[in-house]
Amino acid sequence: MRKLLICLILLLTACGTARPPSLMDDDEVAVVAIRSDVPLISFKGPDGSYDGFNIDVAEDLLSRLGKRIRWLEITAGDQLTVLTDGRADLVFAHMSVTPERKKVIDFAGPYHIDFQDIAVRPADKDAVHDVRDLAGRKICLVRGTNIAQRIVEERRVKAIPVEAPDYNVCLDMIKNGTIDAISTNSQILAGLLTKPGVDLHLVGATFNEQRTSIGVRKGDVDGCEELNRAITEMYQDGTAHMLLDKWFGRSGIDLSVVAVPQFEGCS
Amino acid sequence: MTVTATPPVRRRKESVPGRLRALAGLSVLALALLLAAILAGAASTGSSLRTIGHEAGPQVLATAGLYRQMSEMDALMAETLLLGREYGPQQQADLTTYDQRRLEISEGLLRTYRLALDNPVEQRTVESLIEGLGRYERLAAHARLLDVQSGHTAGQPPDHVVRAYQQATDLMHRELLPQAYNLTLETGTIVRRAHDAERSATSLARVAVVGTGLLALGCLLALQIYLTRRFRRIFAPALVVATVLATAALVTGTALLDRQGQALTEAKRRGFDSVLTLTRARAISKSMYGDQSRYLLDRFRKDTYEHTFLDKSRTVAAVESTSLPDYQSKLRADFQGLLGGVTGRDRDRLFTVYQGFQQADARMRTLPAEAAIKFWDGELTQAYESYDKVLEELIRRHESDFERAIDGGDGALETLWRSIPAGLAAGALLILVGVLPRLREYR
Repeated sequence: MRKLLICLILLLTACGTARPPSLMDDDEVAVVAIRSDVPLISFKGPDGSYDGFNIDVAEDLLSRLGKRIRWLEITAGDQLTVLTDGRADLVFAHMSVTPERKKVIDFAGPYHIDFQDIAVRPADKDAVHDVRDLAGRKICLVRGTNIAQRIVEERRVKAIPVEAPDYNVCLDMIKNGTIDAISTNSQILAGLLTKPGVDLHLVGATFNEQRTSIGVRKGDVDGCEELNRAITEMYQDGTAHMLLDKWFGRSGIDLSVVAVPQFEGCS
Repeated sequence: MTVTATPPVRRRKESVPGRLRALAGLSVLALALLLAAILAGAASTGSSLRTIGHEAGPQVLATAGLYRQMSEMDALMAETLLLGREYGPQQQADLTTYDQRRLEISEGLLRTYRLALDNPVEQRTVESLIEGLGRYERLAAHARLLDVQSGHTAGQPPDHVVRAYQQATDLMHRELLPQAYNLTLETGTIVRRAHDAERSATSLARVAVVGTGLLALGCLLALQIYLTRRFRRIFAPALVVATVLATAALVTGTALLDRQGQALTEAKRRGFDSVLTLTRARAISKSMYGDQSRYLLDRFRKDTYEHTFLDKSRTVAAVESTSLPDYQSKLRADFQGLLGGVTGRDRDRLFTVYQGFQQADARMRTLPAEAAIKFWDGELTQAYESYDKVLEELIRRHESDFERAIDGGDGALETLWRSIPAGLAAGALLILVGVLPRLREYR
């Protein structure tokens, strides 16, 4: 009898093998980290609730996984640490995939392929058509981003980067003539252009693919795979098109091709 | 104390045959449990072996082929447009290869659809690919027609031909190739999950086999001791043989389940994962070769194609670098990326041919237009082909590793089904043979 008992205990302990924590084995609530300062993408509405493209995408995807969301507001500097120290399950912060980031977290998606674009003063509308026309012009270099470096080093365009702490300062700088152009993700630019008092022209020079992805905890392969399935469904049933149209339909961003992006892969 | 002294004696006297029966029955039951545990373990690992070895595994490899064939179709289209009228026979050969790829793609899609019968999301992806390829054909045929009408010599075709081709290649790169890539990832997910489920099922089965096996041995030992004490016999030969058989079943059962588990892990890691990674690298390399012809073909998007070439180079063999010339000068044998997992002599060989390909690319980008096309058609294509050949060889080698490991697992399964049930049935019979004469003494 005692032996039988030992066998049973052995059998039971064999069931509970150790695995890294996953989005899928938590309870019904998922903690989703977002930023609240990006117009059109994720911002706080007048009534204090969150709104924007990222918010809608997160809600759609997690409802497909049968989860409810608890929002966690973060700043750009926290988008990796919030996952590594376990405060959030997911990060929807318009992050693109880079080899350095992949060392500490994993990526589900991308859920959208964006391109880099350029905004100039309406007076320069005819002088700047693509990235090569930035040669000799001053561009905004927001600290912590690699966008200006990608123009100067990767593309070998001799633009002159001028440092700024954030995009609001870039807007002031382009207004008073300190710089000539702002270049970043077209969706972020579209958001900046909606701010009151901003009068800029979006060039429509789509270069450098930006793969906007969801940050997941390192090793959460299950959660990552389920999110990829949900993203595929979101594109197949037309929800993705509807959401892009809702937020960027009037921004001047080219939405003629809306197709499921090539995923990063989960392991 | 005094009250309870007599009844046990009486009970013992009465219960000798009862106890004997109970112990023998328990032993037979334990053997039956052992058999059930072994068979259940074998059945569950057998079904995962089927999934990985014979269903999802080959499916992943089929979808990985799709990506490469589709990027080759687009690369061939760019090549025929670039080659101009003096390359007539070569254009014809390209078109024949193009038709061949289209046929392979149709077969691959049908196979994938058949295997995705219980996965509606994947089925919709296949449907969307079929529809998209139809559109691609229309756009490509249009570009090809305009190209023939223009009758240009080797080099950049007229702008309206390039614009027509842009539509086709955009469709391929923005809509079709990502879906083909995701299809491979999705089938990879199915294989991974089958493998994980199998691993926990095997370890559970192993614990169950060891548990029931020890239980059976314990019962047999108890029976033996009881017989020795009760009937003053040192050995009951039949029971000794039964014990040996139970031990053998326990040991071989555990060992065979282990071997099957190892076969699966081997098939997954050394075979399947490697084949998948290398096939992806080969597919992306094909598309890099396409980017070179598109770079020569399309003066509007030269920058973009140089940049996508760099992006893909970093995916295949990652080296920290800021631009394409920087990448090509920093390329060393300690690269990471998709090919980063290749080791030993294979890595050296692969590095040599890959570096040759990148050096030829660097050279091409410094040449003036016409010389660049001639160089691309000659030396660069040779460099690409010798790199592709090494990759293909590596893939084939890992594929046969995969098949061998699956066969090994299948073989283990057969031995299991044949020998163990027979051994355990004999053991049960021997228990009865050992106990019946003693029981008869009480009649």
